[in-house]
Amino acid sequence: MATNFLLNENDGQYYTGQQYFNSEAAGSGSGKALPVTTFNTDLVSAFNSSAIQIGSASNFEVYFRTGNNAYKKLKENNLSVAGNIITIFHSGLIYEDGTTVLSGSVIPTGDYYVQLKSSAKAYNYGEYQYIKLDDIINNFIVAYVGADKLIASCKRSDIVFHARRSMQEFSYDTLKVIKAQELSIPASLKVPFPKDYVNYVKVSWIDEVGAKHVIYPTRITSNPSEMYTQDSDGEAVQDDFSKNLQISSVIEKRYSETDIDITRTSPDDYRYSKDSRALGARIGLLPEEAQVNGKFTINDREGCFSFSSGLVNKLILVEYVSDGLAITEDMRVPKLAEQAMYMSIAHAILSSRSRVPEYIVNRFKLDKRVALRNAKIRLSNIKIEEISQVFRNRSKWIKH
Amino acid sequence: MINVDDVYKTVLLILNKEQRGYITPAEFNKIGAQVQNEIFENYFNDINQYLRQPQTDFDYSDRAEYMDEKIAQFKKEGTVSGSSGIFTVPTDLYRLGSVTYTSGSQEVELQKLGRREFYNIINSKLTAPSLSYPVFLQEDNTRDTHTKILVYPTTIASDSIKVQYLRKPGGGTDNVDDPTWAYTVDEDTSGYIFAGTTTGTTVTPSTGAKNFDLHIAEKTEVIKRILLYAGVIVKDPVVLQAMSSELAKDKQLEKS
Repeated sequence: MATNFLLNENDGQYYTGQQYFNSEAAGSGSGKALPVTTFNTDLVSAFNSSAIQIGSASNFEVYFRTGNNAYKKLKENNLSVAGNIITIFHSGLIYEDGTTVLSGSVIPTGDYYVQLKSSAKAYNYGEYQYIKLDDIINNFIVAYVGADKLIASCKRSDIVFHARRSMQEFSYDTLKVIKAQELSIPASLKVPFPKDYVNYVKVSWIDEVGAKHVIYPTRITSNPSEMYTQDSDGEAVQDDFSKNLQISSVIEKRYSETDIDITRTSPDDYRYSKDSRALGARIGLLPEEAQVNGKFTINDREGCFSFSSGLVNKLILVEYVSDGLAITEDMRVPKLAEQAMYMSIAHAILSSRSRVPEYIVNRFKLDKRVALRNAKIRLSNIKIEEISQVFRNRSKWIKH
Repeated sequence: MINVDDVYKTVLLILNKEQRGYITPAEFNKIGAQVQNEIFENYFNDINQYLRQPQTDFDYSDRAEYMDEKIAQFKKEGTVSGSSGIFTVPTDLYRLGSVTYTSGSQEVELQKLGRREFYNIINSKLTAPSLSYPVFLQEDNTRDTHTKILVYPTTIASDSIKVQYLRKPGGGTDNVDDPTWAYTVDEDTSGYIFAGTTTGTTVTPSTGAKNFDLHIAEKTEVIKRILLYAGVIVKDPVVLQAMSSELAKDKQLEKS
C-alpha cells in the first residue's frame, strides 16, 4: 500500500474536502478543540473566539454525528480557528437548523467531520503543483546554510527578503501567475486597476459567444498627470492655501466623447477621409490603430484604465500580473520553478556579501541563469501535439 | 558529573607525593568553582573554532560534535512568563539558544535581533515580523542575568513560547551549587571526613557536597587545572610549571 510522503492529504481530504474526527471527548467550559486539521488549505473562520464576526465567510463547515450516517451542521458563529485547530465554543452551541447540540450543558462525546467549502476545495485542487514560499525558505535554510556550506550563516530575515524579492521578479516574467478580472465598462469609461495590479498582460472585450477580442492601448492620446487653472500669463492659479487650482482634463473629455471606433464596421471603411480623427481609416491608415476592438489608455493619475467610447457597457476581461506577495494564497511557486528559486536566493545572498570570491558569485550567477531558463521552458508548457496544431493555422492563412 | 571526592583525593595525592603541601577543603572548593567555570566557558570558543575547521565524520572523532556532546547536559527547554510581548525567561538560564512558539502543529523559531537591526527590519514590508517569521530582542533588566525577551508580533501568547537554553553549571545559585567537597571533622583525629550525601549542621558547608557538573571526560582536565592553581597556593613552581606545560600540550593536541 502506498504511503504519503510529500502529500499531506488522503483521498477524502483532497477530493471531497472532508476530514473526520471520531470518538472525540465531550467538551464544556472553554469549549471543545478538535485535533489539528491537515488540509493543504489553511482554515479561516469568519468568527473569533468571542463569536464576533471578523470576516465575510468561513472556508469550512463542521458537522456532528447525530445518528447512523446522519450528521448535522454546527452553526458557524460558534467556531473559531487558530493554527488550523477548530475550537467549538460551548456557550449557546446550536446546529444550523436552530436545535441545540448540548446535552446536559456539555458538548457530547461523538464524531465530527470538517467540510471545506467549495471555494477552499477548488483552491486545494491542483495544489500539489505548487510549493509554498515559506517551504522554499525553510528548505533553503536546511540545504544551503550552515557549517561546511558556502553560506556558513545567514540571518533568516535576509533569506526571507531575498526569497520574497525573487518571488516578485519571478512573478513578472517567469511564473504563470496571470490573474484575470471579469468586469463591465461603465459610462465613465474608466475601470480602476485591480488592487494587486502591477502591469496588464491583455485587456479584451467579450462577445456574445464568450470569445475574447483584444483591446489595444493607444498612443494617439495620453492622460495628463496634472491639470491646473492658468491665468492670462499661463501661470498656475492657487487657492487660499497656496495649492494649484485643479480642473478636469479636457484631453480626456474630448477623447471620451469622440466616436472613433463604434460606427465603423471594418478597419478599412472607406467613408472616412485621411484627415478624419478616426485613425485607422482606409486612406491615411495608421496600421497600429487599424482595428475595431477599441482602445484604452493607462490613466495613472486616477489609477485606472480609460477606454474608448465604443466600449461602454461591454464585458471585458483584464488579465494582469501581480507580484506574488499581495495575499498569502499567492505566495507559492510552481514546483517546475523550485530550483530556480533556490539558485536565485543563493545568488542574491552571495553576491551581496563581502569577502565572497568573485568566482563563487559567478558560479551561482550561472546556476541561477540556467535554472531560470529551465523554469521558463518548463512553464511555457510547449507540447509537440499542441504546437503542431497551432502551426496548422499557418496553412489555413496561406490558402486564404 | 565528576565525583568531587575523587578529584580532591587525586589532587591531594599528587600534591603530597613529595611533601609539597596541602590545600584545605575551603581552598579546594573555591578553586573547583573557578575551574568548572573556566572549562565551561572555554566550550564556546572551542566549538566555534572547531566549526571553522573541516571535521571528519568518522565515529567518535568529530571534535565539534564531541564538544556539543559535552555541552548537551546543560541544554534545557523552558517556558516563559509575561504578556504583551514582554516575557521573563527561566531563572537558571545561562546562555540563550533559541526561542520558539507553537503555531498549530508547527514549532516556529523566532529570530534574534539587536535593537538597531530591529528598527531597520520593521520598516521594510518584506521583512517586518509576522506570525510566520517572528523576532525577539534579548534585553536585561538586571545587571548580571538575562531576564527579558521582547517578542514581535506581540500577539504571540506566553503559553505558546518556549526557550531552549544552557543552564548554569551546577544548576543554579553561585556559591551554593558550585562543586563542593563537604566534610565532617573526626573527633579523635581532627581529620576531615568526606560527608558524601549528608547535609545539615554537622557538615561543612551545611548544604552538603556537590559534584562537578561537567562531562565525565573532563575529569583529568579538572584535576590538572586544580593542580595548576594549587601550585600557586602552595608556592611550588615545579607543580605550576608541570601543569602549565601539561595543559598547553593538551590544548595543542586538541586544536591541531
